[in-house]
Amino acid sequence: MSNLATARPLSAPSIAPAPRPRPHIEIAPTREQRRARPKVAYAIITIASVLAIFGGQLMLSIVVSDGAYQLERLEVARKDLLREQRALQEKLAIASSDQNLATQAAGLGMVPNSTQFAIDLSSGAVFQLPGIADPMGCGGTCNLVTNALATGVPPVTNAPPAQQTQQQASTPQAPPGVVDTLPAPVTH
Amino acid sequence: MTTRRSRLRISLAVLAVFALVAVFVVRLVDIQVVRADELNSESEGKRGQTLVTYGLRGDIVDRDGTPLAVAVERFDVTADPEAAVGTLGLTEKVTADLQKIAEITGADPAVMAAALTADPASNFAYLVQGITLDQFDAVWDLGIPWVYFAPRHERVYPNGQTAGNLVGFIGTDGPQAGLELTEDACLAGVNGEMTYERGLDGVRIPGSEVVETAPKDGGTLRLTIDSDLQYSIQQRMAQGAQQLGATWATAAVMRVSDGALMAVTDWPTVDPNNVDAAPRTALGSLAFSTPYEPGSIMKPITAAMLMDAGVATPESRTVAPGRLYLSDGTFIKDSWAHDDLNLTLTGALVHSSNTATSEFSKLLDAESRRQYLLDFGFNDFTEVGFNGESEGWVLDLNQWDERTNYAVQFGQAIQVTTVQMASAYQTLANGGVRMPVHLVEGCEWPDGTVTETPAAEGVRVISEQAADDTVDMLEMVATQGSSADSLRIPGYRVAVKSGTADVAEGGVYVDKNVVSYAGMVPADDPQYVVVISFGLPYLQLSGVIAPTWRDVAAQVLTNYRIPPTDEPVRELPVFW
Repeated sequence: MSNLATARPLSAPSIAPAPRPRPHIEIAPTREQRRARPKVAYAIITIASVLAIFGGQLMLSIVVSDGAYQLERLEVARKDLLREQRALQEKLAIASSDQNLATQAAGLGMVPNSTQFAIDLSSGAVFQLPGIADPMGCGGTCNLVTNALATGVPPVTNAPPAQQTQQQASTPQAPPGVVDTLPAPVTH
Repeated sequence: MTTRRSRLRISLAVLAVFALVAVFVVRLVDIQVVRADELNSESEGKRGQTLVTYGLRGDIVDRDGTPLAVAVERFDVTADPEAAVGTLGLTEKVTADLQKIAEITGADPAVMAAALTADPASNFAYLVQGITLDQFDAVWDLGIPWVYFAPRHERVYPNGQTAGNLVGFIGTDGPQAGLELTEDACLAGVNGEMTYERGLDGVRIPGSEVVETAPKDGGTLRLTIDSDLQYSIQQRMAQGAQQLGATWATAAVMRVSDGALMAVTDWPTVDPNNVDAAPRTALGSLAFSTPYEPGSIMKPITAAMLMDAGVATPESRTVAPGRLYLSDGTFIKDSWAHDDLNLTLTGALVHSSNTATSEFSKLLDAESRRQYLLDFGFNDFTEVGFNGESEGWVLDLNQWDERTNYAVQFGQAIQVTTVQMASAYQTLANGGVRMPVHLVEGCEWPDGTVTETPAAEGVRVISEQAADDTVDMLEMVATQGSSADSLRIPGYRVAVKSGTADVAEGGVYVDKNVVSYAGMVPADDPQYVVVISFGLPYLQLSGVIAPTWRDVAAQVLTNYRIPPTDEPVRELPVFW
């Protein structure tokens, strides 16, 4: 820091000619340069694309997680249906057990057929079979071969369930096809 | 000076930065490398959920696919006593809820209340165990907030006592008896494990499922047993046993062509659904596990071996004395008193003469006869390898005293099982070729492969001629023997032999009998062997069970729709 003040020497008072207005000159960009220059449009496009990508990703993730929910729902439904299927199979197996069939048949007043006939499919001959091993005529009433599971099965009755009859009456159904034909030998 | 200070500052800053970086690096390596596994598993434990995926136990089915043992799902109803009771005690609401559960499941509400109040601070208590799907749905619909459910797999036997002796059962510690036990390698399912990550709402995060081990369902065990036939015969044998006051009764039906067991019944027998109700002796199969002295049903085996060895024919003659004295002064006699009888080998069977059979046995040395017995399958386990199976016994040759030497040939001093005897008769019926006895047709795996298929190769024990002649002689027994009327099945030819055996207890013969019938139908083209035996707590001749054998044989003919025949019986001389 110096205390020496210095005065700026005045410039020589010279009457300068009025400056001629200088023409505005700048370097003209080449066409490539002009083209390479960023434009607003590009910025907009870039930002929009980024937003679009984000948006797309969001949508995708929504769809994927929605799929996950659906998958979960279907998985649960599958499990429930399998569970139900097994439970029904169990009921069917118990209902079709020898003990249940015999008891139900006896309950309906059916007795074992002691004179059974069979058809020889190769010759078409009918012959009598020697019958069944039930001299006491037990049918399903003696309960000599027990089944703890079959005891809880409700007895069937001759009368069709009311609900079923009603349903059949209200919805007309096509006549059932003949399904109980006897197997017959193929003849030529 | 300034430069030195600023340099120091810079150095310190750089050192500090390096130190900081070093700390970060150490920490990073520690986390990423050293403790990576531990931390990963910890994080998975927090985010992830491990799930046991159950491998189902395979079914046991009969030859037609009728289920004899199936795996079913049951549910345990559990509760959170703290949420239900807490400090308030049993409120009216909780009591009402318990009442509703009781109505659905049939459980005792008082017992459930006791379970809830036993420890009100705990978070777990069983209310009801093993309810069905219907009951589960109903309890679920109640929407009780403090009730939870746990599924579990149980075993039920839809046909109850039908083949219960063979199928066996499962206790709390796994398979306990029968095929459930011996075929566990086929039936058992293997549980798997799966982990997944889940979000706050409990939904699985997509793609996060990792199957650690896949569950493996057990195979389906298909038996040779025909459950309808089994049921019919079980019922018939139970009728017979009750009428006779028998202590036990067994029956076996074997297919002649391949040694497959179509029915093996025991009385009494177990209902695998209710094991506690069965006597201890009924938990397995006596037909496999309990040998007995078979008596005269052994005589056809003796005749067959003598004919195969070429020392006798159906017409061979002997003089059967009323008493055959042994060197120690004791004697062998028949079940009825008679003078000398001029019997053929056929006659020895028709009249079931012990003395005639003993006389014929002299034609072949003991060692050869013993070897034949072993070849017929006695003194050895059958190919079935049933749980608790007995091999019976045929004494060693050096233990064959004079009496044993004869007695073995008419079925005393030898022990056999019902299934062994069925196998020996199968050999006679099959032209002398013994087929491997089998109870299992195969283990069918979920991927479609089948294992444990029975061996198809048989072993020739005697010549076809000897076997066929023996069947013809047994037909003479059926038509000429003392129980011919009881054995007749109109339109069909049957071949059968009766046996009344003394029972030894503690080395002494007591006042008990084992009565048996063994034979094959139809005699003109044997397809099935039928053997029945009853253990009687008193002395009785075998004729009392002739109608039972007839009924069982008739049931077999009916079951398999075997047509009658009008071919005449080959008449063989009984006397000479």
